[in-house]
Amino acid sequence: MESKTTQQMLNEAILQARRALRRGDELEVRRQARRATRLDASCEEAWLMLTYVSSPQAGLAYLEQAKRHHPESEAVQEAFEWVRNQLPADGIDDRMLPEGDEAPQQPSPSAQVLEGAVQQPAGRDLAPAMVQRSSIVRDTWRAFKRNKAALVGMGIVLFFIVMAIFPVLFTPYDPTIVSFNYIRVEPGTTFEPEPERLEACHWVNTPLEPLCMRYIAGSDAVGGDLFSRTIYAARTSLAVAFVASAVSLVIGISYGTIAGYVGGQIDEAMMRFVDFLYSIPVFLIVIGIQSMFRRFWIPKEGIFAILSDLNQRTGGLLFLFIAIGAVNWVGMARLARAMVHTHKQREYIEAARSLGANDVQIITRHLLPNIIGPLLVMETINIPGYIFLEATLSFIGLGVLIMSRGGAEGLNIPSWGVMIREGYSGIRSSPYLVLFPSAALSILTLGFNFLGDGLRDAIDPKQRKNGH
Amino acid sequence: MTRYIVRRILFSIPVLLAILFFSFLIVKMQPGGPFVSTMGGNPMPENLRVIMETRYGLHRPFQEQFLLYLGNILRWDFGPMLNNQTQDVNDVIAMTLPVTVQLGFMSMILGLLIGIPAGVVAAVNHNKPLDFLATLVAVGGISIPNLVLAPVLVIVFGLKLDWLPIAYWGAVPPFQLGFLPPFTADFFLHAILPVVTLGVAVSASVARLLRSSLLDVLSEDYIRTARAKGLRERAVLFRHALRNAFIPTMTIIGPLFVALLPGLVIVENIFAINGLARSMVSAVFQSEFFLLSSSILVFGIVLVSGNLLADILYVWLDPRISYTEQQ
Repeated sequence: MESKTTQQMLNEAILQARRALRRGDELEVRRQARRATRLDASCEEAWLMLTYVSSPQAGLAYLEQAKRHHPESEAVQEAFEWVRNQLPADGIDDRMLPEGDEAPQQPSPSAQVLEGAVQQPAGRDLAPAMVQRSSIVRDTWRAFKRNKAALVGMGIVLFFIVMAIFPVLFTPYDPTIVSFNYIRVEPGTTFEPEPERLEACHWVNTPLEPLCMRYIAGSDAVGGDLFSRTIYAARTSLAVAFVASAVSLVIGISYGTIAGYVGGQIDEAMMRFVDFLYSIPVFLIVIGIQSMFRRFWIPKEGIFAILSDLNQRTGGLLFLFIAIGAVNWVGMARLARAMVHTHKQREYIEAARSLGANDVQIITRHLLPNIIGPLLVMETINIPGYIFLEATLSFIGLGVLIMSRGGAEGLNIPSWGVMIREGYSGIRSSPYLVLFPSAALSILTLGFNFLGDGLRDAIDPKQRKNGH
Repeated sequence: MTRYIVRRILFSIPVLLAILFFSFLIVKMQPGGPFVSTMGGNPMPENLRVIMETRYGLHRPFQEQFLLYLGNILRWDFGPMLNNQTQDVNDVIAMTLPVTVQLGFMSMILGLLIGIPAGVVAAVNHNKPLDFLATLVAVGGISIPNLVLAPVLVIVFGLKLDWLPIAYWGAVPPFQLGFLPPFTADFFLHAILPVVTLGVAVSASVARLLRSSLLDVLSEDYIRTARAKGLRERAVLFRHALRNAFIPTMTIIGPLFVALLPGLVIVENIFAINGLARSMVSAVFQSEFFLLSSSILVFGIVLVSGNLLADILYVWLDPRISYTEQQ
């Protein structure tokens, strides 16, 4: 059998593609047309067919290729018009139009994500569906807005964030200020602060000044203002929640994306390792790491000594970030890999590759922008877990560093876990010592749970069906 | 299926070895070795220290030490207690592990006993007040940490109402068969608060998952068929829907079991229960390295094998999954 010439193969591919187009078999059209463009990049008909079966954004990129080889062609101009008409009116901006030799700009995430939801029957005119495509952010927001619980959750979380950033506005005193004359006084008790204490009050010379002379939520075992401590402790929880999430997102997404993108045996090996880590109980590892770093193994020099010192200065937060984030990335890696696997097959990746984008460009400019949204939402759902873990560790004394307040070295930061631990010893006489931090902790986790559930339902139509 | 189970068991071996190595590192990383106190107090006499170090092979090279450690564990010698010469770690584990097992086991059972009916009721009354109530309670149950629930229960039922004891476990080892508790009123009275604290979170997760999977199943075609052929609603629910809805729920039993651990630590601390989780944490602060590493190891073994059992049970229950096809 003699080998076919390139021209013969090209003709065959075009023929096959035409047939498939008549049949309405989009996948086959795409395959054959892609084959044709690989054989001859100047094949106008193949580019046009690709445009026809692709999303408008990808289509624009294909047309740009056709235009390079046939700048005068009327068919290409016509096709440009056709594709532009399909873009949602507000969806057109200059960034979407490909320029010159650059690889195609990423299609808006909406196109790709919605493609899953709005699968068109093959062969029908795709235009109507495309016109309705709009930003995923807007779609999600629309679904999210309807969910009252989710809105409440978002409100709670935002309120705590504001409180954590500007605790001075919300509290009369600094959390470290103590007063040994007023130990464990009931909430609402009026007292006479020492002059230097009164001077340190955040609300002096404001309408709220009378509250400087009142323990709004009572005082703890060393006369610290429980109200202020409870609010300042939001900082610790939120810092752990966000930094640990960031650590786990960065590690998890990098790992999962690489595994999913490379595929094959490397993927297999990397995922076996993830399975392996997944089987190790996280809490044991965190306890082990914390006890090793914090209690037993305080090195005198080297990188660990620097870290240890830094940990001391941050009041124990550093190792908390590392320990919690570094052991929780595993789930995120699995998720990222699964998403990369499904997206790898999508046409926009194929389009980018056919236009000469390299792997790094494909991953950073095309894949990641499309998968990052759902992954962020999944991470939101994990946040209550991080907050629990921080509180639990602080409760048993392996979280934030506990130092005697008033003139101790290092940073003394309040944490709800520590406050509950301290308060529990006086639970018979002063239950409020436990109740205030407990309430704050529960409200914040409730807020994150509502927010996370709402976001998940909003991006996942299947879940939305069941309602809440 | 057998093949899958064998593979799954084989896969747990490196995991257990890793936990073992990790627990070994904790003893090993202590500067100067575990017998040199860095916390002040009475240092161990020099000759005794040499004897102890020789007994635990601490003068040998690293890899040899690990093998020795492994050998000691296999011979069921977990090491000495450093601050208490009358006991060794074996005794402590024998005293505390059964209590923790009882606590964890009872909490899981309570969680399932509440969670399953709650999930079914919520799904059957989809979008009605009962469903709304169940969902609200479930979200609350997930959002309220053990750390909060335990003190609140203590304040309400222990101090204000004075109905229930707020500290200690109602029984001490040895137990029948190693872990069977004495079925006395006193034991259960003491167990109520700790078990409820732990069980609430379990039941909330189970109820949520069961509700959503049951809702999925109830919208399937075969349920419509079952109704169309005139089956009573109860038969449709119990014979057709629930069986299938249970399968996704089964998958979280293993993770829930593993997730009990932080709760155990908190509950044992708050209710002053002399269990292994509490011993593990106090070991950190009393520099009982051998106790710390052994309890991490024991928890590792229990949790990993519990997870393994749950996985195997899941495969065994779900006839649709055929793991023999893979590879």
